[in-house]
Amino acid sequence: MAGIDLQFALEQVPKILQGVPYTLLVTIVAMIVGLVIGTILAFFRIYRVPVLHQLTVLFVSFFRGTPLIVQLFVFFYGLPMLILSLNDTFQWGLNPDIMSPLVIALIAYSINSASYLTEVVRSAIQSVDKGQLEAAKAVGMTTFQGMYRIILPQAFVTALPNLGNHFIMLIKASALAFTIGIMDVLGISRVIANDGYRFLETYLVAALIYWLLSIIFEIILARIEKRARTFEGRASNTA
Amino acid sequence: MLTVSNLHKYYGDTHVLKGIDIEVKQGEVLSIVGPSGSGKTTLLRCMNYLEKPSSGQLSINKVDIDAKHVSKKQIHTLRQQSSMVFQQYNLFKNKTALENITEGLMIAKKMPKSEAEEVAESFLKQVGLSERKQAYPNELSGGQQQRVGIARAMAMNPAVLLFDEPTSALDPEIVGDILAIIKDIAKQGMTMVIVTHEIEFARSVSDQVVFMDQGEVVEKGKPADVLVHPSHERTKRFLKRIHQEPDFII
Ligand SMILES: Nc1ncnc2c1ncn2[C@@H]1O[C@H](COP(=O)(O)OP(=O)(O)OP(=O)(O)O)[C@@H](O)[C@H]1O
Ligand SMILES: [Mg+2]
Repeated sequence: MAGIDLQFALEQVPKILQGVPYTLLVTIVAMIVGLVIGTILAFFRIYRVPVLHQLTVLFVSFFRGTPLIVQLFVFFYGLPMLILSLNDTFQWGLNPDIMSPLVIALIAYSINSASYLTEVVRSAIQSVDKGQLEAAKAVGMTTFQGMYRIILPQAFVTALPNLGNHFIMLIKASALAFTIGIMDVLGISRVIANDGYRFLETYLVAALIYWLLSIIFEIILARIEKRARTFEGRASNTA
Repeated sequence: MLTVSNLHKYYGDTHVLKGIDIEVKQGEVLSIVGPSGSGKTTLLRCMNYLEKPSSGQLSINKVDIDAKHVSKKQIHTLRQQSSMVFQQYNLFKNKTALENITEGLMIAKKMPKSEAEEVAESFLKQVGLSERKQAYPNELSGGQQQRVGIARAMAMNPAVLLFDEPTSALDPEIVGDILAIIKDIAKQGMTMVIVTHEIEFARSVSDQVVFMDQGEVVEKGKPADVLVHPSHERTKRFLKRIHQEPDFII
């Protein structure tokens, strides 16, 4: 590997690692907010709530049917404009600067994530046996209590493999945030690469960091899944 | 204690329950028998409002409901008067045997945890399952799961216990154990409605038997009358067919 300056590559590692918090921030926020919104939208669909049900279908279709990078640009230019027009209409004094690139990225990724997770959560909830909610009602729980305490915990376990895949996908997809100026792993790498004209070394380091992050989270997710599945039967002590 | 008057249930155009009238007194055991598809499960589920009746009146423990105009709150109150034991057990899969029982006590009845656990343990003991209280449903046999199901229903301290074919999903050799437990509860003076295919059991445990066919109550009365000397042709045919079937058919 004569063409690769190993020394240079090693020196860049600490600098590029400084982008990891941003990569993780975007990923984790998009995962959590996406899951919360996705769960709410999943209920709109399951209970066929008039209007909201149709809007959810439209929402999911749009955000799954358009490129993420295009969505990022639309939010990047659109959100500050939205604030200005809200100020105009309602005489509010919101500062459009609250829409920093980071905030915009968090919003865009969360919404995009929600569009995928709506379907994941919906099918997981629907895969839980109907008898579970009936039993909850039969012991006097309300539908909400039954959902919260019985159905959702079971649905969550069913959804875990999909949620895990989605999380790993988000780690990689978060790299697109450099396009709106986020200094995540890829954002920092681009600056370094452009300064030193060492493109290959820099991007190889970036690739290895993404790979490592994926591996670490795959291990963590596997542990979570194993723990969450205890109620499906601890091996060997079945009667 | 429990009264069903002129209860009708439609699924779309299908008329599944055609004006059911039933009365069960305090401490009585009522068994419902009848061919498959006659509406037994539907009737039982209507009593617990897991299924909404199309019309008719229901009254359990002085909670009266008219299916035509009923509020969510009324349904909730009515439901708390009875408790259901399901054919497929329907234990909460993400809860241990103990938690299956404490769940309703703590969440619906707002009982403190320690008290709920005490109650749960005493009922688990009654069904002979104390040692398995930390097991999840998937770690229990069918018979054990149904014991938890019965303990869970009883722990709610309902005015009426509802059973939907509590033994029909079980291995034949366990059926007797579960029936014995149910008989035991009956002896304690519990008011019960039992849908069952176990004719011999129905005969010995019931104060009253209802024979249903095609969404109607064809015949009701004392078990010795309905099950031994039925007066209707349909009841006779049903019993004859049941007796021809070997016991161990599932
Ligand atoms: N959710 C439903 N939608 C439409 N039809 C239904 C539904 N549930 C039950 N039925 C119909 O209602 C009728 C009565 O069903 P039900 O389950 O009450 O019978 P059953 O007497 O309990 O029978 P079995 O002995 O087989 O359990 C049947 O014809 C059945 O097909
Ligand atoms: Mg049935």
